[in-house]
Amino acid sequence: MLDISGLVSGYGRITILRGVDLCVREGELVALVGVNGSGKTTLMKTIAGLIRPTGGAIRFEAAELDGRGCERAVEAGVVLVPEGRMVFPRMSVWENLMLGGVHPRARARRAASLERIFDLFPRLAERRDQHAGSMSGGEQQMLAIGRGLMALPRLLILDEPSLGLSPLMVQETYAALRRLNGEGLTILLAEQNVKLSLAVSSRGYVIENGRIVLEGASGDLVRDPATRKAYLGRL
Amino acid sequence: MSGEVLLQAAVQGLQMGAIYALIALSMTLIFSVGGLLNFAHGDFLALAMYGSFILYAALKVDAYVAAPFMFLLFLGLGILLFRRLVQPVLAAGVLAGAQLTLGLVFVEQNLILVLFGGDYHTVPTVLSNRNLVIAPLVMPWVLVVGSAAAATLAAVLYVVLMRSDFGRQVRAVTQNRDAAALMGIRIDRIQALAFGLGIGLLGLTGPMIVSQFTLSPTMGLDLTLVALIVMVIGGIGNFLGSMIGGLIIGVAESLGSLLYGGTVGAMIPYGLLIVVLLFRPRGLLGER
Amino acid sequence: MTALFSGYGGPLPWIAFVVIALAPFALGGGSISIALLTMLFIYLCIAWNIVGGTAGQFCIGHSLFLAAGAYTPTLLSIHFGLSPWIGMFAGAAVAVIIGVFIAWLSFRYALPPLSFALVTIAFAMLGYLALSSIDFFGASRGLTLPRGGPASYQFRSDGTYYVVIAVHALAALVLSAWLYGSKIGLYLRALRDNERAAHAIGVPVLKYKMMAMAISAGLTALGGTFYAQYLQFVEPHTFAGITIVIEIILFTVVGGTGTVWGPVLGPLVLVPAGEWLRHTFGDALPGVHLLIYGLLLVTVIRIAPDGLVGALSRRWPKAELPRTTSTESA
Repeated sequence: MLDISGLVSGYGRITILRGVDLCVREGELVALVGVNGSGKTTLMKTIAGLIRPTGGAIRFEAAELDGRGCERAVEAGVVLVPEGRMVFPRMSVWENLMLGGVHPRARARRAASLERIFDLFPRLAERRDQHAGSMSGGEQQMLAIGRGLMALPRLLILDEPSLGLSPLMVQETYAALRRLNGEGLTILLAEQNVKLSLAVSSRGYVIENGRIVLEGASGDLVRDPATRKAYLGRL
Repeated sequence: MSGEVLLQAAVQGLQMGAIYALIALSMTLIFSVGGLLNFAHGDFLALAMYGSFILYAALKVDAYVAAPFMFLLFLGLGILLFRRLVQPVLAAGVLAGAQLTLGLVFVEQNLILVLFGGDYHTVPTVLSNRNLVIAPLVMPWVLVVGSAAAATLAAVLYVVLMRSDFGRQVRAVTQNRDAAALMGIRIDRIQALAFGLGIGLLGLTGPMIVSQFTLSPTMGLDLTLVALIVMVIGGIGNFLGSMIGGLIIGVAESLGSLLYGGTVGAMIPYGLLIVVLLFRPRGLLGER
Repeated sequence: MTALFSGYGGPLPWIAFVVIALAPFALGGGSISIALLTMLFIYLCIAWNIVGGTAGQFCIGHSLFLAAGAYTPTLLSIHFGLSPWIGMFAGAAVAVIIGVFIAWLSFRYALPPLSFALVTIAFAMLGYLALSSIDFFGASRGLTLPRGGPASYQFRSDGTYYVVIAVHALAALVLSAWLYGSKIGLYLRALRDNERAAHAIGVPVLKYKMMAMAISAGLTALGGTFYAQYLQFVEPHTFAGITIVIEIILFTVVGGTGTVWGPVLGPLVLVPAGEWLRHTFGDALPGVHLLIYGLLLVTVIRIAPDGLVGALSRRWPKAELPRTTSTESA
């Protein structure tokens, strides 16, 4: 579904990604693990269209996504739930969700999508009119995921969803992700928390200094001493 | 100084204040969405007023009738200018954008000078020289209508921003541009529309208030400065703040002129600006 | 001396400058008055650039300094018969005091750049309103300078005035170039690019802000004195109005803020262009020349948002300017 080859990207003159190869097949839940500064976020943003790559290619199903911008990505069905959530703080839950569904394909199904999301995250329904900025980290994460879902993604990308969340909220969030993947949504998950992300995914990649250094089935990666090494013993 | 005279001046100040508030709101819209400080804002308003002057002088079209046409014209003008001129310059930074608007001040002021000469002009309408009397107040109809129109437009703008999809997208871009982009929102399109709307509002406001002003080529800069002051005092990006700020400035200017003379009255807004910038830099109601 | 030549193009721009400066004497006639005006703006732009470009403090209050330099010696001359040659230092002192006060305010209240610009506008407008309404300053009519000779900073020929301002400009240029290459200049640019970082590494922020402002204010005031002596009257619109500050800023922007030669290039191109336009079109329709002028300005900004110097150094990148690029990060 998603095919990335030789991706080179960065900010201005600073190159972060030095040739990344990665693929995600339909229906999978793939994990991308790496420490701070390894290039996870840059990769996520480049796939989503926020950053224009300087080399390599991103192909999603039939469409070429490299350097075409966010609108193209969202239209094709690639939606990013960014690091730090980035909810719109001075708008209500409902407004945030409505904004998720602005592009034409999603707009037609907005009402139905909204219902589905409130179903998936009952807490959001409770806080429908609350300002997003006043919610807890976990609630914001749910909102951010919900907002991403409103855009009717074929591939949902998440950048560090467990960051800053209480353990309980992390469990809830991952449960939701598991459920969504079970219903058929393809997910690419970037995390610092190796144990968690490899536990919920079927396949994984390890990124270090802008390059993929390991890949394989999640179960294998967990046991692989090389993974441990890439994390300086943080497993 | 009788209470009646003070009351009269205060009411007049409130009415002018509503107009100032609307100008400030349109300026805030442009600033919040694109980061552009439009020094030429008042000059666009002046152009709109001169536009209605021309329509009146040449075609005997009453200013109030001209208003909707001016709105559409200026909306289109705004979008065109943004796409062709402002957006490319903004790529070099917001400072460059502000400098561009300084250049536009030059252009527009002298465009007016060339087309209309340096003489003062006035534009009479059907309501000129007639007063609404609600004892003990004697209010010129043009001011009543002008301020009512300004208040109404402000309310309409509020509804658009808060309730419509477009308004939501505009606010999203203001609050987090990257997140808005990730939703598939076309940032450049929203910016162009917001800019166009801001200018369009000026096109609509101009004819509505033209008959209570004396037109001169340099009036634009004064209007820009007042709008700037209101915007800052109320808190940049704060809708309610701009409304209240406008009313405060309007009343302060009016009462100040009455009690201490025209020059002091003109100085008060600047004094207030300095005080607010130093002691309440986020504005009286805080930024949004 | 060699430090001055270490910039873009080495000694070439300096030679060019001197040659151009001498040109009006060869061309004669009307070119001297245009050259005079050009040189004045070059001088004022260099002065503004010290605080506005190099130190990155976008100050729109320079009309105050100009007015200080224009009004103070004039008043001293009218009331005490003091020669403007001496009075101009008093004018500079007044400007420096005002400037340092504003810089102190901006530091004390931690004003972000936008607020700083607005505060300076507000002070400038207050000054303008005060000068145009108080009779002591001549209100809106202004004051006429008492007549005198060279001892009172008045000359009969434009040529002499031109020499005076050209010397001013050259001195300012040397000062600006020296400042640029010196430690002070480095600190100022650090302030401009990232004030917090500069503070963190120990740059005394307040001291340098005040210094930049003081130099800029003093220089501008001297320019104001010159202009007053040339016009032989002072009045609020010309000296304290915002228009002239906008022109100074625009010329510097077109030339390239934060560079040594930007404030020279801008006026060098734009002032004669403006005068030529006025000469050619000015009579037909009043304001046409200014309109074309404005369009020209807007076009230049559109094409080269980081100024002519920026555009030139992109065209000939080899001799790279010792400068960081524009004050904005996207």
